[in-house]
Amino acid sequence: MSLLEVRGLGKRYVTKRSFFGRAVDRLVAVDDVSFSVEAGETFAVVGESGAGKSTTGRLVLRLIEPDRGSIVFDGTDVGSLSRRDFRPYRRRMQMVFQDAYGSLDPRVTVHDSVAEPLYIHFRTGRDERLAKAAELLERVGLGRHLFDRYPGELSGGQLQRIAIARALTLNPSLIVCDEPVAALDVSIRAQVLNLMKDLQEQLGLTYLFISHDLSLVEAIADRIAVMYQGRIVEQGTVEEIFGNPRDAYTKQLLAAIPSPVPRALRGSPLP
Amino acid sequence: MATDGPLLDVRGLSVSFPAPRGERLTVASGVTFDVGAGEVVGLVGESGSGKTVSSLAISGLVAAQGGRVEGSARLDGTELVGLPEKELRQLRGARVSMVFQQAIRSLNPGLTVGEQIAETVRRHRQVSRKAAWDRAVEMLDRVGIANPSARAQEYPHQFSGGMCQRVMIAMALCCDPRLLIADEPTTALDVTVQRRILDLLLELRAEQDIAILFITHDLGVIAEMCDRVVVMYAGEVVERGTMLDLFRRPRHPYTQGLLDAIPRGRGRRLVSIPGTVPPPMALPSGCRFAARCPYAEPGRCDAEHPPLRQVGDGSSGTREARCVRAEELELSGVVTA
Repeated sequence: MSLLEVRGLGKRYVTKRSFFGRAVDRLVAVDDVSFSVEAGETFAVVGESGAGKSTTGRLVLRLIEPDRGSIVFDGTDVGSLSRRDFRPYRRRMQMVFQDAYGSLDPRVTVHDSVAEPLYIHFRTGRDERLAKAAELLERVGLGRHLFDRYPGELSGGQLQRIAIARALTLNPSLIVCDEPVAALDVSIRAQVLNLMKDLQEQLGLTYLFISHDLSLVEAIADRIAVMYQGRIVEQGTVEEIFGNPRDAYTKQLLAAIPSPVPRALRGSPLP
Repeated sequence: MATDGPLLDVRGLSVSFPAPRGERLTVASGVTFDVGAGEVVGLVGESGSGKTVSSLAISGLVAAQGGRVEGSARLDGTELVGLPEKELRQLRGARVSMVFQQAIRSLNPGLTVGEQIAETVRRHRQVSRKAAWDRAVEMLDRVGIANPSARAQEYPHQFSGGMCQRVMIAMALCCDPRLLIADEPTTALDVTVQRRILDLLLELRAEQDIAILFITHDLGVIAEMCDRVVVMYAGEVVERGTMLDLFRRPRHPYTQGLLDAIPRGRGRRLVSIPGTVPPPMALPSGCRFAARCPYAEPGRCDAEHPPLRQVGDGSSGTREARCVRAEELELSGVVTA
C-alpha cells in the first residue's frame, strides 16, 4: 500500500462573478490529478509556473481545500475528514517552502521556532520541547551558537535547515517540499539537498518534491510526474522520463534545459 | 570607433559603500577583465561575489547609493569611471545597455511599451516622433513579438514575464549599442521561455555583432552562451579563461566546486562546497576561499592574499587563476576524458 494516494484531485478558482455573485468564469488550477507515493521514496512534481504543481502540494496537505478527488494517507481517506479529525494526520504530513525566511516568525529565536509545533499540538513543557528542538537543530547541522539567533541574522542555507528541522519536530512521515532550494546558491543548494537525502535515509522520510528544475530532480527523485496546465501529462521513474520521454511537452521541457557540458565537449556518437 | 584593444577593458575596478561607524565596505576589489567586440563573456559567481555590483559600476549606476568606484573601465577607449552623469546618460542606452532579471520592474507601468522604446530612441537620436515609434515597432518585431504594431500600444502588465524580457531587450538594443550587459536576464523565467530568450540573444549577437557581458550563477547557461568566462568569489576575480578551457580543466578549486555542484544525472551524490562565502567585513587575510577549499594548505594558502596570475596552458587567450597551488592541482572539469 502506498503512503499517499491521490485520485482525481481538482481545484478551480472563480475568476469572474456576475453582479449577483454567480460564477461566470473559472480557472482550472488542478485538473483530475492522480498519483501515488510509496513510503520512503522521493516523488517529484515538475512543471513550469502556473502548471499547478504548488497547488497540488497544498491540496495534499489541505492548506487549500480541493473541490474534488480523494487523498488517501496511510490507508485513511484524509480528504473527507473534518478539520478536527484531520489534525492527527496533519502532524505526520509537513511542508517546507521555498522562502524559509518568510515561513519563520522574525521575532522568535530559531530554537523556539523549532520547538513551537510541540506546544501547539501537544502542550509539551518548555524544557522538553527545547531539548527536542536542540536535537533536531543539531541533526540538520546548525551550530549551537546559532540557536538563540533570530531569522534575520542567518543566511538562506541556514534558514532552510531550520525550516527543515521545524518540519521534523512532530516526527512526520511525509514532507511536501515546495522548491526548497530554488532560492539558494549552487554551493549551498547541494549542502541542503544532501542533508535532505541523509534525513530521508535516517528517518525513513517520504518526500513529495515540487520543483521547476529538471536537472535537480533527475539527481534526487525516484519517480516524476510532469504537470502542464493543471494536468499530469506524464509520470514514471526517473529513468523512463529522462531516458524515454513520451509526451511532447516533456520532450520540449527536457530539450530546453541548458546543459553544463559545452557542446564542443559532448562525446560524439561512434560512426 | 576606436583603436584595436578590447571593446570593454576593466582594470583594477573596486567598489565600496559607506558602512556604519564611518567605515567603507569594499564589495568588489581589483576586478580585471575585458570583453572583445562581438564576444560573449560570462561573469559567474554566487550571491555576494560582486558580479552585479561590478557591472553596475561599469555603467555608472552605484553613485546614487553612495558607492565609490576606483580603478578603470574603458568602453571603446572612453574612460567610464569618473565620467560626469550627463555624459554617462548619453552613453547608457546608446553604446552600452543593460537588461535585468526583473524586466517588469524595469519598465514604466504607466507608459505603453512602444512609448518607452520610442522615448529611448529620441533621447539618443535626432529623429521625429513618428520615426522613433516606427523604430520601436521594428525592434519589437525583431525580438520576436507577434503583431508588433498592436502590441506596442499595450502596457507592461499586459505582457508575460518572457515577453517583458523581450521588450527590455528591444529597448536595450534600439540604439544599436556595442555592448549589452545582461544581469541574470533569464533567471526568473521558465526553462522553455529561457531557451527562447537565450536563442534570441545569440541571434541578435550574430546579426549585429553586439558584445554581451552575461552575468549569471547558472553554469549551464554559461556553457551554452559564452566564449570566455570570468569567475568571481567574495568580491574578486578568482579565475579567467575561455569557456572550454574552464569547463575542461578548471584552475581554481572554487570553479571546480561550482562545476561539481551542478546536478548531473541519476543517483550521484551532489558535491557541495562546505561553509559559506565570507562577508565583506570579515574577509580573511590569505586566500578568501581557503576556509572552504579541500586543497587548502595551512601556512601557504592562509599566509598571504594570492594575486590573480597567469597559469600556463590557455589554448587561446589568457588563462589566469588566483590560487597558489594552481599548477600542482589536478582539478577536474565537466568531462573526464
